[in-house]
Amino acid sequence: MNATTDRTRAAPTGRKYNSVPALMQGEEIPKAIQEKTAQLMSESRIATQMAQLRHRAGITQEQMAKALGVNQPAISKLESGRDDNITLIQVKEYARITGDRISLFFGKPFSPTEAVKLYADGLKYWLERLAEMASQNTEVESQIKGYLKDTFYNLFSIVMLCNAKLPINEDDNIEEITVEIVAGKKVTPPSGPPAQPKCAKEAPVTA
Amino acid sequence: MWKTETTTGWKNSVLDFGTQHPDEAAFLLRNLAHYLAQLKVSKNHKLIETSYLHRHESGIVSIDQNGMEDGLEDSRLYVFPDESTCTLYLLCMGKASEKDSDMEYCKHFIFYLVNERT
Repeated sequence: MNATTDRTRAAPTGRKYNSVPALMQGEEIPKAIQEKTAQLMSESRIATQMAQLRHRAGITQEQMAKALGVNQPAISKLESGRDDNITLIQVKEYARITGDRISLFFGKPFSPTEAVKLYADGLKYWLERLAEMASQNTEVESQIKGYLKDTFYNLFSIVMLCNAKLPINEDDNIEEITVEIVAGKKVTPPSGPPAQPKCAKEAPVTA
Repeated sequence: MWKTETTTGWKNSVLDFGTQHPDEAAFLLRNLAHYLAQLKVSKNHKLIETSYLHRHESGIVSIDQNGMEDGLEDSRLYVFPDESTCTLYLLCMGKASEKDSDMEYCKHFIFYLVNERT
């Protein structure tokens, strides 16, 4: 640490960050260090997830080592090292021992619109399963109706919050709409062409 | 959910150390990201076990550069996990050989925090 730093004035700055990439950007860490750190993080993403699985399950390295038939330093090395040193069997065993799940993803990262479409497809699939359950089981019907209503409200709030962050131009045609959702009734969009997302430069997302 | 918060000495120490030792700084920040990921899922931060973590008196934790590569200069990144607010205070970064002066800064911070709360 630099000798010029006034050590007697140690105090919080109020600058808070949820992640190290956000921290590095916010604190203006040199680009070369940011890029190297991001590269190291991406080379150890699976190892980080495996350590998270173990910590979430409250299992010690010693217990994990015993379950896998290795010693504790091997677990320590595996969890803090590079993904290249991990085998698929080890990943599978971590998921089995912790009773949790781990997802693996290789290759090109999703673009924002691809990611939204993927989540939207998943959401549609699971909400339809819930709707089917509601129609087959009267005991859970009211719970599912309430859940769908909450989900709609939450999704709508997210979209509105994102929309509020968009810049407003003079020629924007801002229209106020009222939407009423009735359980069991088909939702029809307001008349006119659908609004195009202004935040995405790529093709609009269709869920 | 745990979040980080910088302290007054953090930014200068990272810039000073990072200028002279960019690789070590990157490995320390990677290990910080790994530690933060574990904090976010752990029920008790004191039970987190990783090879790069060292626990000191007053609850100060130092992170070293080990884990992914050998042959780097022995370095430390000092943090303080405050479980009452789920805040990981980022204190400073430096060579392991300068740990005495870095720990002095860390202790001043803990002193400040305790004073503020009493």
